[in-house]
Amino acid sequence: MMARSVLEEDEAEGFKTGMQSFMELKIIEHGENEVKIALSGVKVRFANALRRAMIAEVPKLAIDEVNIYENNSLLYDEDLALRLGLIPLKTDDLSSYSDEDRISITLEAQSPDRAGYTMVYSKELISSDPHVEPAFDNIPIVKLISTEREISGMRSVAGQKISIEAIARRGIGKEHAKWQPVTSCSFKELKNVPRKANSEQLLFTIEGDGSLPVDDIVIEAARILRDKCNRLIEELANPRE
Amino acid sequence: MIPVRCYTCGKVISEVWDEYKERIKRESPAKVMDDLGIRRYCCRRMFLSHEELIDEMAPYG
Repeated sequence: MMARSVLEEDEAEGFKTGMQSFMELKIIEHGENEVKIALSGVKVRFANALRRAMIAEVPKLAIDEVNIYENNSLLYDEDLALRLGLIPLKTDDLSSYSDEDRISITLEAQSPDRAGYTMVYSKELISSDPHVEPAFDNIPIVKLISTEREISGMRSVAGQKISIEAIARRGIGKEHAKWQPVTSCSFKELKNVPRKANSEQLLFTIEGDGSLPVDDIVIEAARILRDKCNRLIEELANPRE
Repeated sequence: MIPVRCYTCGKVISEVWDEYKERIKRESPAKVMDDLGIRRYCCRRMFLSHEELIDEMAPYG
């Protein structure tokens, strides 16, 4: 009796009669980095579990440690490291990387010989792994400026240089937002649609950050949820002492 | 330096900063942002409120 009261009326009815509402999925819009899906036949709480899994549990690669050999630019070492960490890294096959894998990415740049500046962009990052590269080429990392000075008639140019080795690692959004494969990831209930009994229509909007294809993010999140449920079933079936 | 991502939603915005900076000399920022796919107001304020200060700091570096 206690367990029954937790279930909603219509769900309890479904269990009794053996009728289940089936999940329907319709892709409304599919862009390069964004997908809109209409989901029906599921409860809001299931959709929310899926949403949270996409945000916090789907792994991706990101720069985690940075060795700075030289940096006399205007940005502090920690500023530079933070900017590098936020650059999305693209991989063709994430499943071939484990949590222990480390990918080294180097960056060397210096300001021009004469007065002037060079902008250092994310495309200048050199990855040791040919399958890992920045998802965007034109993210400005730092501006290196050469200034000309004149001290008692002597002209000299003061330049700036950075020499960096960054270490990328696989992680999940739970640990740090840089490992979050989605940016905006939300759903809303669609109003004014003819409602079938026992179902709401939910409009999902999922925007990736460029590191993983959006479809893969949804699939991986669903897989993670399933694995969690399976683990729960196993634990309950074979309780440990 | 323009922040790499939007503070609020995390969208990578810095990638189009150079183009934005160039185009607002001739066009309205609203139109340029629409073109560049900067749709949400959290991302739009990143561009509208950003001031490039790195050159002012350069002499003291």
